[in-house]
Amino acid sequence: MLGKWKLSVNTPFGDEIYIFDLFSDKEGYYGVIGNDKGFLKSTNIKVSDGKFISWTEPTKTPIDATIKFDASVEGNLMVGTVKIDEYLTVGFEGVLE
Amino acid sequence: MLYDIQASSIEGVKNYLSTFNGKVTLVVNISSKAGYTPHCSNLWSYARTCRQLWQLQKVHDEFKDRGFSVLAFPNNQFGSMEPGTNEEIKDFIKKHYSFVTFPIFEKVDVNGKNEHEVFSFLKGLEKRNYDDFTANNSEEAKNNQNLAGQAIARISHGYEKFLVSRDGRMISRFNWQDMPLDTIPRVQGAGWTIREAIDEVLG
Repeated sequence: MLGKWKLSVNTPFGDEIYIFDLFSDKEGYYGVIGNDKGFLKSTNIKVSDGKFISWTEPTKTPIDATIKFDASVEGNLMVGTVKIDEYLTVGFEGVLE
Repeated sequence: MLYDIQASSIEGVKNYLSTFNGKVTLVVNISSKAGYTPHCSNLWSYARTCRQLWQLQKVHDEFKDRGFSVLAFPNNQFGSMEPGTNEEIKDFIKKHYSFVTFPIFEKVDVNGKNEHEVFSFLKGLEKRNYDDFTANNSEEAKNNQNLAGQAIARISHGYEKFLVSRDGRMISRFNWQDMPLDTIPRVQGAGWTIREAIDEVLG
């Protein structure tokens, strides 16, 4: 599961590519996500059974919100949802590069 | 008063605005693709639009039983963020903002020579001087100036909000950054938040 994931987030305004870089050490998991518009440090990364992953991105700009990613992983593929606070949910797919 | 003005629903129901006579309303120029600009990501553009519509829906739900309604007018004058037809807008909102139940009107202009009478009324009818980007003394600028005076009352962004009393008087104006669920006034000295204003005017 570790490595550089290319995520395609499906919004009504068109799909958008993000790179999610996931790594770990003996303390736990770490990650950053972003694209040419900027990068965010991932927090609260949880991996279970090697099949499920979730993480959050607290942001202050452009709006004060928490982005939550939830996904199931199979091999080098990831499928899940992105939620922003309580008002937005969209799907995404990812490929481990 | 506002409710004497003819305005159709997005489904084409004529004189729909008159059905709100006697209610306190928050009139908003919306766009279903707000924030959709090259410098803002698709996800954040969608989030910003969702956040505005979601919070409008929350205040609509909170106060509707006391005689309040949000009234939304789609508008395409700010960055082409509402390019579709009424039918397309209605379908887009239904599909991508399915939580929205407040009334939506026909797509209108809110500034310029073709601006809808609703927004001429809300901005104030008196003619004023102004020096925004259209006021360069060109013929084009003159043609685009509202005869009744947009002036400093010109709407500068999507999601400006106008609070209207039960008898159709414009009570208070909030800009796009004033969010419906704000707990403190965003503009220092404004005196009240949108929720406080609605509550006060409802009585």
